[in-house]
Amino acid sequence: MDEGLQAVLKKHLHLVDGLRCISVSDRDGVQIVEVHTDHFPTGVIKPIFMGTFAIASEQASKLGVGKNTSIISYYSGYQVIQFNYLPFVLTFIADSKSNTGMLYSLEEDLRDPIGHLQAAVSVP
Amino acid sequence: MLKPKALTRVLEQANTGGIHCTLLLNQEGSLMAFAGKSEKKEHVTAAIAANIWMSYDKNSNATMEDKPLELIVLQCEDGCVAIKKVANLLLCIYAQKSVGLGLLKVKMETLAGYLKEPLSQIAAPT
Repeated sequence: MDEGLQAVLKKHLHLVDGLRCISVSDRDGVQIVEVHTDHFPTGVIKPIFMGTFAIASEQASKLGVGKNTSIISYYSGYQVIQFNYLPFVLTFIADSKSNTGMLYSLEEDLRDPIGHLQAAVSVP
Repeated sequence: MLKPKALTRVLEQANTGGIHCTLLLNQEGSLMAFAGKSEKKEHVTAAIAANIWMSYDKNSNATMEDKPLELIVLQCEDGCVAIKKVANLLLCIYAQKSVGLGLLKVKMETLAGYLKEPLSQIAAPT
């Protein structure tokens, strides 16, 4: 399962210009699968950063506009998009000039493989 | 001298084309100014937005080295919220789902650029 998902992510990594890293982690920020190019901000995939999403997403769901689906954070030079697949988090790290719409479209293609991962750990 | 009415009128200008409301808050989450249809939950929105900004800002300082946080967009099922730092305050735009991400980003950048200088004059040094 892990190798299969890694192959799928690797295939998608080069589909969008400027996409540097695709990562799947758990809600605490611990890496499960990750593919990346040679140059990307390595600090982003540390648990201290990745773990922020789960709490922020839960809080954002209390804003009165429904459940939080994703959070985009823009930095000078990079954009980080984190998708809510709790207990998993799908993260894209891309150049700030990358097309955010294309990255969202890429996420739609990855729904099935991440969904299978969710199903594998869900308690009946 | 800060003129609250003038500030509210500036914020109001962003409230077109699906933008519900625009808020200006301090980093502790206290509401400074608000423009839009009041649903009596602005204070909650302000507190949550400030908390999320502070979490990301704090963790990105530790992990992103010299790349400061510029903008956060929270995408939810029925709408989205954008947050950006202006001087030492936070600007927050609350939009319905149909608003395009690009338009939301441009509105935020424009409003933040307009408010940056006057708000810097009243901002306490941090």
